[in-house]
Amino acid sequence: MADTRLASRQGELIDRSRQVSFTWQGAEVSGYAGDTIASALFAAGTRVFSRSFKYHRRRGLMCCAGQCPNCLVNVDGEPTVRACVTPIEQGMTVSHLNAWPSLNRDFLHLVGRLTPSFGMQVGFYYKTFIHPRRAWPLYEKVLRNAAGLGKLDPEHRRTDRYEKIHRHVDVLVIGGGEAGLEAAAEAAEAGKHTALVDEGLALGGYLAWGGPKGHARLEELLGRITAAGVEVLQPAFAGGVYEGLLVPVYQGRTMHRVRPAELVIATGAIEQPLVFGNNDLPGVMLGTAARRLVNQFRVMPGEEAVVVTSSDEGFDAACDLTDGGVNVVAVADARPNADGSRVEDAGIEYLPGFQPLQAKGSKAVSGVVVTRNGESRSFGCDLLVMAGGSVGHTAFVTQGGGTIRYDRERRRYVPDSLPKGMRVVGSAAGTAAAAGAVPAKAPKTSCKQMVCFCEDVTTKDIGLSLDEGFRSLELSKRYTTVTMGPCQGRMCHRNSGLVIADELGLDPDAQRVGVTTARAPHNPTSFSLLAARGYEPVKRTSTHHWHAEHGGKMLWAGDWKRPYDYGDAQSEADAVHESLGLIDVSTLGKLIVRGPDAAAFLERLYPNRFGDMKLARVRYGIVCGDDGSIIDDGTVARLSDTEYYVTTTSSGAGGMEQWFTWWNAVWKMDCEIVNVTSTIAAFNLAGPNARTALQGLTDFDLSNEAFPYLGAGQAQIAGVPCLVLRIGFVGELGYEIHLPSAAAEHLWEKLMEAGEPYAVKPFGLEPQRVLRLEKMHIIVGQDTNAESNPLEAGMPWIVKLDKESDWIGRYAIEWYKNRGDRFALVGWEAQNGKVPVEGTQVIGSDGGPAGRITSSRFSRRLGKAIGIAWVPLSMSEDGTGITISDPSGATIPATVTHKAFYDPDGERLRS
Amino acid sequence: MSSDPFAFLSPAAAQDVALRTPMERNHRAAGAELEDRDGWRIASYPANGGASAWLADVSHVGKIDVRGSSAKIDTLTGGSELGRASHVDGVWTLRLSPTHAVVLCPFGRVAELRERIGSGDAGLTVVDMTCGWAALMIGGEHVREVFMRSSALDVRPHRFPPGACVAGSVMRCASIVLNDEGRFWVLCGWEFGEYMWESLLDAGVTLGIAPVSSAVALGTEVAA
Amino acid sequence: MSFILTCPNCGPRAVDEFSYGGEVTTRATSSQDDRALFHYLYFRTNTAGDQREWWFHSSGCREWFQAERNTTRNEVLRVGRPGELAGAEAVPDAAAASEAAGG
Repeated sequence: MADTRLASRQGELIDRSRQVSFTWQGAEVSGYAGDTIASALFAAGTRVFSRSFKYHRRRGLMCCAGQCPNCLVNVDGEPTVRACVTPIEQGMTVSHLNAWPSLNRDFLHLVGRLTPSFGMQVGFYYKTFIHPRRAWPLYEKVLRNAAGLGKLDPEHRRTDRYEKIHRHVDVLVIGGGEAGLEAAAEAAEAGKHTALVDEGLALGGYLAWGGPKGHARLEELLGRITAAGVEVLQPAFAGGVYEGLLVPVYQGRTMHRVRPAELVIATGAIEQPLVFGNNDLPGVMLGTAARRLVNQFRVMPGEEAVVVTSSDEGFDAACDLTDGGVNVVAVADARPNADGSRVEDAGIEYLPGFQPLQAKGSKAVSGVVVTRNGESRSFGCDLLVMAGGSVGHTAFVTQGGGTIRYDRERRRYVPDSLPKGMRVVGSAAGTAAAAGAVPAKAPKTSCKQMVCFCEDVTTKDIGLSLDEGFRSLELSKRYTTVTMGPCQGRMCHRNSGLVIADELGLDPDAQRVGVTTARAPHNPTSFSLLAARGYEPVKRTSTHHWHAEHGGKMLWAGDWKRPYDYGDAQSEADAVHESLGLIDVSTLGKLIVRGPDAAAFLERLYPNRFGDMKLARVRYGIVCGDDGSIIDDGTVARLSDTEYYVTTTSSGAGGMEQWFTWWNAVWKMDCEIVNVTSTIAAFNLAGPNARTALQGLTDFDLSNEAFPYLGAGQAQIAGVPCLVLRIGFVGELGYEIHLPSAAAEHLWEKLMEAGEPYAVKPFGLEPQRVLRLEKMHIIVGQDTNAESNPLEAGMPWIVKLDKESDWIGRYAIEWYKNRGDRFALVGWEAQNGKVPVEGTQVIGSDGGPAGRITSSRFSRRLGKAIGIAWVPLSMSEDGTGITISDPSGATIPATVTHKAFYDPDGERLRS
Repeated sequence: MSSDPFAFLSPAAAQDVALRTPMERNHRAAGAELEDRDGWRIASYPANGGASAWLADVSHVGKIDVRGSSAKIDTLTGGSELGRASHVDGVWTLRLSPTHAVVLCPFGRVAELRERIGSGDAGLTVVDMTCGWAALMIGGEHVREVFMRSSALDVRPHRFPPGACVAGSVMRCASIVLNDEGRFWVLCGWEFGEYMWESLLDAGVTLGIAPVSSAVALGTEVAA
Repeated sequence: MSFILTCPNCGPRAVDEFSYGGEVTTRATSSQDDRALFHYLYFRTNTAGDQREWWFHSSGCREWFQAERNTTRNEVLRVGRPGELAGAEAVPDAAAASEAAGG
């Protein structure tokens, strides 16, 4: 192993005293601590790392910096890991991603070669796999297996802990190269709380991997960073820049969710490939990749090299390669008039004005043909270095809401306008030396010229998309998927812009060529990191555990957990009719409305009349929107001249608090609204024996004379201060008891104890639904929708249009009254034993849908299916026969009824 | 009607009733002893002087919600600014908006304070919210690290010094946070108490968080 | 969406701490003028530019306030307690309110 490495040198990342072994495709490989998977494999002789996405072409190392897709591998079961930036660890299992049966013999590559050239061209999936239609399930299966970049194990269960930490800092610097280190040091030295994030294997960027000459400056900057107390997050990467300058920084298994007051983008520049035939062969790599291999990992990237370039950066590469013992045979420079003396002085043949035509070789590069004005030269090589010029890495600028523009002079995209709080420093801002004119592509060859390495988009594909009318980068991108792969344009945005400009005969800065916005996440990110601990708020009533411990089936009801039933819904409903039941209704919304204007406020908010309510009484009310639609229902109890206690539906609690406080923010009446939903627990004790059972626990006179239906009284029950409301959602004699949450479990147990002689049963939401349906009590949001007004919903009596005050919904309801009803909300009962499904239709005379079933249940007590439905006015008379559709295709006959199915005169309720 | 129409909110008005916090099952599952104190079942945890992060259930603390005009609230709070709490004689008064303050006091003093604040023609709405909010306290050297794993609120020392209070989202619930000499009170809806307890304990797992008795947290008992 | 909105009571917070209440509108007070009534109930100005709107700090102080926000840049220009922003007639957005209240 040690033989293939170059001599030890300052700046190398490897620790030659520590060997690390791992497996690649099942075989053991050895490297050094500090090696990446890519550098260790390359040093061991691996040249092919993956297969491309569409054509399954062999791919080798190209960027060595985590920017391109060529080295994506599977590590210990995790797919899409970039081998070139992932340090090796003892015992790692590394395998390829998307080749079958093996990386070297890939069946899908064969398919690509055998299919006619139109078979896999751009957009092929819009034009093929259409006929015969019945073969689609087979096509889908084939396509699913062919697509994608890795397999997820559906049985995989996360075992590691992922964290999410919220961070506030004064300054966040993204990028730890020279400019980033400088900016961070300056900020911290000025007293600002500063953090720096860098995705590299070591801080320093170019100062670190560019060779020994940068090391002194790096040491100096690192010293300043440490002395000034900059918080360094490395290796870590910024996942993106979101609104409000929110930057998630991913470091191992932690997401730092950073809100900086100031964001500095110091992400440097990325070297670009050149576009020519077979430019994606293994052995074709960027100059910076070759230099990283030589400088950081001390690996020879090849033996005989040719450099094709369009800037002085190609010269830097040629020099570092020569230092690394590589024989650089020639440097072909697309610029006809550049000064190539650096190269010539090193004894390398310099070819000004020559651009690459195509790389030769089938499984790996074996040579290259370069051309100038029709003249060609051919060279043999096992390493072809492309130095296509560097482009500022501005992904975060555009993500954060800034813009970039093409700078004609410097021939690159530079930041244009920046969002507030963001600044860009260093080569990301476009300060690096200008590049020469880059040839958009090579002259026509028979082999593919890759523009987008992630998505396998060639110059021909882009040309076809333009021909088919997608004549800008934004449109072509959506058709070809260029720049849409994992690199999000880092390797291809510049080149695709040049190709399109060239094809359309435009300048690259023309608006029609355009720019695209890179999308987050910046680097592959696991869902575990995004989800982290997954805290999901759950509301529990104060008797939650009693319910769970006594057979309650605890299910989500909105954001609460509530018991659906305790094992037998029908028996629980029967118990309420026959003797005694107890239900926890603590989830009800509860508001105190109090002050000199409290009554007037309620008058303005409800269609009901509340101004004439007596003390110690409770009344049912509905709340309407200003459009006259029912938005909630509940009760209002008058506790004193200026104090009212309002209940709302459980799911409407927060909404009603908002609604009430909103209108009072406008009217500024002299009253306060306080949300006491949490403070108060509530139980409904219901059944013929409710009075007897409850009386034993309190001195408060519960006789019908002293405390009739719709009374509201304060009572001490089993030592607990309570408000008792005599109302009847479930249709039997009942008491809704409101009490402090801390005393809830105590009182519940006392009530169950007092109810024992009467065979009391706790009952859950499902029996409650059946019971309320027997009384034809509506559930807002189920029996009503956003268009339901109280007139059509069968509650014209609730609407007091003669109230003096203005009230919310008044004008709309007056308007509906003038218009007349179109529908009616009615009860129905079905005779033949089938139970209609909620949501099915009432069938009209024309055979089409005319109405809708909103509630439907079988009532064991009544021995039939009952429910509520919206029907057209013409079908709403009491006794009308209607027909209800059923998903099976059959129909169910039913009869409209206006009176409650059970105890229609409310005798049991008022007993 | 009794003289106090809202007595039914007040656990202070209960007689011979075992008052429970939402975290009772959490305490039992952790093996804590439950003792009766002022009618409340309070968890007693073994002393844990070594914990670099601790959590306590102080839901039994008296809490009073006060609303009225800003002039009237000013007289109550002695004119404290928004986001600041005053601590006088064992009673915290948090100013959350010009027209809204929250008072935290020993449970035994709730009735007396309600009376005093709402007395006369002060025109203040004074509501006993003792069971409106579950109250937790986090403390220890790593208190901010635990908090940063629970909330996006900025609690850096210069932004959230002792005596600062803030209303905002903690563990995705609307909460009120108070810096009490480096310990943080976290108040959330009573119905979220158990969820908040479990979530904060989880947040502090890698920081060695451990539950402690409320008396230790409140400083009425010295940690071993 | 993660932009910052400043609550007059609690200071700057991420937008997910708030509930949006729609445009500040002017309430119709008659059932006779169909056009005015329907306009109030169902039409919105939907400005591409600076918009006056309602916000509720649901995770914090649970109070209402108003903001002026530029809808094309999604930039909040100013906030104020109801009625404080000059010229803001404080009336809730009826349609948004119904939605918010769970209708």
